[in-house]
Amino acid sequence: MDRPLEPRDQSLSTSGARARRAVWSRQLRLWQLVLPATLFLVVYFVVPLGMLFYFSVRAPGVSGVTLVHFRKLLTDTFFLQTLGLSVRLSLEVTAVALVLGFPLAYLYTRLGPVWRLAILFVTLLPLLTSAVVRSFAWIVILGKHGLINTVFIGTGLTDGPVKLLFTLDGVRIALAQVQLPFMLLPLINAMEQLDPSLEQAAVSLGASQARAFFKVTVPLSAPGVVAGAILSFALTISAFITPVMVGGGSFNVMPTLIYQSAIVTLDWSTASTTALILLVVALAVVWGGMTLGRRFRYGPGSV
Amino acid sequence: MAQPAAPRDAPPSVPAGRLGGRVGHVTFWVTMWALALVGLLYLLLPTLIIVVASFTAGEYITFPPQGLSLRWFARLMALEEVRVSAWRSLIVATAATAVAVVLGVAAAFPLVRGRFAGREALNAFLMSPLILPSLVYGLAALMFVSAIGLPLSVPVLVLSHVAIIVPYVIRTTAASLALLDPHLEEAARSLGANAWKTFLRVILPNLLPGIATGAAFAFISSFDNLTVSLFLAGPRVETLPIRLFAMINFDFDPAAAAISAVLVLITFAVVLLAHWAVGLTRVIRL
Repeated sequence: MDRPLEPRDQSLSTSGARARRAVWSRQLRLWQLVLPATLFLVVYFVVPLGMLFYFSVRAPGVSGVTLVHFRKLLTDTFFLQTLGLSVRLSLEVTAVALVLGFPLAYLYTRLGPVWRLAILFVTLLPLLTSAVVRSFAWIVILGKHGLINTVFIGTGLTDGPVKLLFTLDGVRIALAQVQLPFMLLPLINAMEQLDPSLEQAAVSLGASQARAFFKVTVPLSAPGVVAGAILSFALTISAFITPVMVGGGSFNVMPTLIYQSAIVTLDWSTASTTALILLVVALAVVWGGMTLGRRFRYGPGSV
Repeated sequence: MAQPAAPRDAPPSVPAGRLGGRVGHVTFWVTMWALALVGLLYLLLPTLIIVVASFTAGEYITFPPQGLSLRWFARLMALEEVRVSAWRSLIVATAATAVAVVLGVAAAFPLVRGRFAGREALNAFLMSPLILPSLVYGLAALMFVSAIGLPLSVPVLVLSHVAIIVPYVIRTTAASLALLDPHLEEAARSLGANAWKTFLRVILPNLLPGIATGAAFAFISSFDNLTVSLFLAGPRVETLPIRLFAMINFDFDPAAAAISAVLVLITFAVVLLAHWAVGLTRVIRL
């Protein structure tokens, strides 16, 4: 890209060697520009994560590396239940986000610029709004005198208030809203690449609109679905603020366990080990999803 | 027209009657629109509700609000801790964004224009703070800071925020740079501008929208950050999100809704800025 520039810099010289040296020195200068950010992240990001790892494999009275913390946690019923709940919750939230996100992304690709802008605005506003504020809003909506109960009692749907706040259901509802933008953006990006005439062709050849949608658009959007699902899952399983605020401590998920071990019981080894197990589970899902995504891209669904 | 792909899968045994086809068509679009509108409402509802609820005249936050007033905004002005923590958050976010812009804009150049081995790997590395759960980073940073014996303070908090927001700046700057026509630089150079002049007069003005968007996203994620700050803010370096968190969960103070409304307003401004600078349709591809 910057190669054609160099000979002109050396306008008085036609020597190839000098031009090459100029290119080389320019690359060197480019290289240097990335150093501050890299060094900063090595010191302030990689080293801390190294310490996390260190705390998880060391124990008092044991020399060298030990897996005692992992063994203790992975044989603990309470811990395994929490891990199971975290995984299940993340899968459920991802599924809800997909069911609501897919039609919205689909309509986005078929609507005019005003609608598109409105959809993007409504997607980006909550995405960038503080998680504390969003969780607070859900407390107001789900509470005993909240919007949902006011509507339910007002319309005679229920006699008394439904308990949603400080329950798992309430957290499911709030988390799905938090994750919906993360599902939507990859879906929109993937579906915009599709040619709408593919679906029209299927319809004009006799397929119903629904059939054309499920047989053409859905399979071709698989890469976007996979990308959105990975993102949504990984963010839900590591979500802390919403489960704490909307769940109100009525149950534990992996991030609340980490916080409790680190700040309440000051057990850094358990906190680190829990954090690493969380990372491994999240990375396993990301890796599995990416493998699945590659299969879709070159599989029978591709055109 | 493109090659039709679907009929290959369609068994020929489904004869769609003319009427049945029309009904199916309507049902399909009604279902799509219904789900999409539920999705839109779902996305918008919490933000809308917290802003409206903050104007309540009542003693606690409900929706619909009991009468309208500005009493909770007025109370906000009187709360010393809120003022102090908001000011601190502003300082932390501004400082962290400034550092992140310097580090991020510089790093974007080699990542886009450089030709060296391991460029992709380096890019992935610099983006990795986006993927790591911020709670895990908060814990790791706390261990690091206590191991090297630094007291918990504003500068420590700033540096930890830089680590998690620098990817935003790198990404948006790199995306703008990749779109910049290299011929512009060549033209500037061939007309006699030196490297610095080319950078300041030609490259930088063209990258400014991308940098501004990245900086705005970086600022808002630092300003709103709770999970990292919870670990690194001792009792004496309380930030606004920590104060807000405490007001909602322990003090049940309705002024929390007024703070929330202000935070929503700031977010609104950031989205508008991003739209004005690069357009929302491009923002989502960054």
